[in-house]
Amino acid sequence: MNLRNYLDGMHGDIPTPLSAAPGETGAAGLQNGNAGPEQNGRTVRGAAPGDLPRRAPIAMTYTPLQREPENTFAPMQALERGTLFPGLDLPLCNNYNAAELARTPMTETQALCFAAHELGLYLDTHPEDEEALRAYRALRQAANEQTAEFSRRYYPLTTAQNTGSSARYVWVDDPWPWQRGASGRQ
Amino acid sequence: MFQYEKMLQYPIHIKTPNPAAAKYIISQYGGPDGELGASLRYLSQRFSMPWPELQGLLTDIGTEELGHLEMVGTLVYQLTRDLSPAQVVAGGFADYFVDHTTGVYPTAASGFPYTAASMQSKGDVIADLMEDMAAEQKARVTYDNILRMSDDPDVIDVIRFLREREIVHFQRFGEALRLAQERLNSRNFYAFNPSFDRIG
Repeated sequence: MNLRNYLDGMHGDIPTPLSAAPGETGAAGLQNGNAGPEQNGRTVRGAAPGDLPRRAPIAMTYTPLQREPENTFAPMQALERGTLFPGLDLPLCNNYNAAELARTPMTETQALCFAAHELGLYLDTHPEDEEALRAYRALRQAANEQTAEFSRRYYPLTTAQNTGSSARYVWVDDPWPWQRGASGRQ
Repeated sequence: MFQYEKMLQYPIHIKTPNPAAAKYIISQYGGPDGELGASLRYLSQRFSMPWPELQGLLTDIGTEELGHLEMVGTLVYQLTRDLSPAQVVAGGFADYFVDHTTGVYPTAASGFPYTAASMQSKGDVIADLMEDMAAEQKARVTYDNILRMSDDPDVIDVIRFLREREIVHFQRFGEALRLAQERLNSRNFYAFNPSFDRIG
């Protein structure tokens, strides 16, 4: 983008759309011109989620909002890749974790808790996304049930779940998470 | 308040001790772009941050960073288990060992102890969110550099996970900045600080 185009852009659409993965994050509004106008001195977000503002003043930076997550990894793959969202999966030198994590009650618990947390971060900045909210509630419920089941069968994962009937205060017992094999023992 | 969960966010099983790797990985424990600084930065910035979505995001990411601090500490702990004094010296670990044995101490790889001087809580929504986006990028580069020096798959998988979290958090903080921009005057984003100034 040369300076002339940039200055022209200050009086209308930003001339150069940002590249983005289709359907994940995007700036399609820059191309189809459906970004919102200014109202009462406030920049109104583009009509479609992810759009950049039509009038984007200088001396500021703009991040496209992530669009509704249509495709997401399954919880275990999300844990392996470090994100629930394929569009945000951007590994160094295209080297990603190809090896699958061992499926154990612990890693199943970690995967569900991670997926629910990850969708929760999305909802922090997209609190009106009803579809994501429905998916979040289902994931959170599954994670809660998995955590409770793990605590019943193996050991309490939180002090709130430390409610068994043993004669010993088992909260202090191994494994603590930093111990090698803590995730694989169960 | 906070409640502990007795599990790591991502599983860690290091089979081969490697004190030389522990010496540079510990920078993400107590270094300038490490997880301790990240969690303190976000959990401290929350108090003056306007608007509920932004307070929620700083709380949730700051809490996740505490989990990453635990993961990096776990890496250092497992990489330095069962070392003989000869392995300590051969692994280039002697200068850390003499001060901390194999205890996990918040320090940069250079040996400079953790300092809050490497982070900021500015009390201004734009300055703080810009700082947060930069912090995620700096941590991402640190993990890039750790990956460039690592050949143990047990380490690499964990570092790739942590690196990917920086990218997701960068996007979220960028979105948080967008939410802030929509509530500020786009003709002059710097007309007032919504964390402090009272208008009208």
